Order: sequence, then C-alpha cells, then structure tokens
Amino acid sequence: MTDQTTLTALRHRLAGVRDSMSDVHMTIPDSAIFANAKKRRTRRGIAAAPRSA
Amino acid sequence: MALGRATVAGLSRLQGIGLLVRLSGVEQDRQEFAEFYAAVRDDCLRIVLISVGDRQQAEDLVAEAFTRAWMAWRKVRQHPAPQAWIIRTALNAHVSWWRRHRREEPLTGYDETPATPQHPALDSSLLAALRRLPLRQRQVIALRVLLDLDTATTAQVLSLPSGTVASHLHRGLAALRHEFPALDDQERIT
Repeated sequence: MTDQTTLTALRHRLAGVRDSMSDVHMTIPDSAIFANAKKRRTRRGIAAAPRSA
Repeated sequence: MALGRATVAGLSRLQGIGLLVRLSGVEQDRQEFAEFYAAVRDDCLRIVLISVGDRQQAEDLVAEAFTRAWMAWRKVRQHPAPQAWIIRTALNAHVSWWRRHRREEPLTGYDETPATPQHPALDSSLLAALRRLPLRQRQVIALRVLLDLDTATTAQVLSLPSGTVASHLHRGLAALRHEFPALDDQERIT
C-alpha cells in the first residue's frame, strides 16, 4: 500500500470519527481566555492588550 | 503662557484621541478574536481530542493555545493558517496553568461541568495507535489529515522543511500501516 492510499484511508476514517463528535464542544468561554491572558500579562508587568506585530 | 496652555491642551486632546484610537483598536482585536474563537474552537477541540484521547486534557490544551493566540493576536491573525497555529500550539502546550486554575478558582459555567466520560468515537484501536506515535508525527498527521493542509503549509506551520514534514508523515503512516495492514479496509478496523 502506498502512502497516498494510506493517507486517503486514514483521512476517510478520521473524518468519520470527527463527524461523530458533533456533540463535543468547548465549555470554556472566551471571557476566561481573555481573563487568563490579562492575568499573565499583568504578572509579567506588560499591558493587557495583545502585542503588536 | 496662554500659548503654552493651548499647546498642553492640544497635546492632551491628541493623547486622548490617540488613547481612544488605541482602545478602539484593542476592542476591534477583541471582537475579531472572539469571532475566531467561536468559529474554530470546537473543531480545534475535536482534532486535539483525537490526538490526545482525553477530553479534559484536550480542552485545557486548546484553551492554553487560544490564550497564547490572544496574547500574540496581531501576529497570529496574519498567520497563513491560524487554526493550524492553534492546533500545533495545543499539541505542544503544557496544561499546568489550566489544571491548577480549575482546582483553585472555579470558573462560572465551566467548572460546573461534571467529569465527562470519554467519547465513544475515541474508543478505537486505530486512534490508540495514532496516539502512540511521536509528537511530531501526530502533529503532521493532525495538520495533513485532519485539517487537510498541504505539505508546504504544514511545513510553514511547524517551522520545518517540507522534506522533514514528508518524512514524518511517511514514518507515521508506515507505523499505522504496520499495525493495520488493511487500513483501507474500513470493515476490519474497530
């Protein structure tokens, strides 16, 4: 079996697994992400806003 | 003196405007990030969950990755594949902060979630074999197979040469093929 055949089979198989996980959702709200980032930045003594590029 | 006061007032006004513009920019970033989070968080969670096998750990890893993404949002937003950036970071991340935080300081609506039993879809010998692969091979398979990225983009996300990505993919697939010689035969894999 070639890599391409395996890749196609694996993609097909994992797509099925992924589709069957439609009931799996993140329970962490974005506010917790913002709050965590703010705490870390405060602790490091830098502004809570994201860094410039 | 009057000129001095006017200059100071003008500068204050300019500073005020500058601050407003900056706050408006931050608010815009925040809104943009919130939309990105809402759009891709569940998909990222499912992909990381397939790779690590533990629901709580997967959620902690994804939350950690999104936290880092927000802290560097102006860089991440310009990334050619920000969702892939999240998945790579999640698979690289340590979850100590979220684990500790969950113990010490309950988050409303988050810690009330009871311990989740493992998803039945994860109960597969193929996924178990996938999880036994070295991290780099799992990362490459997650990006190439689950996110359907091409080799060049995967290489860019992982900061690896394309040849190295191809090599990791080849080794990962060879290991899976070794355990499941009939991988293309859906009926024989449980």
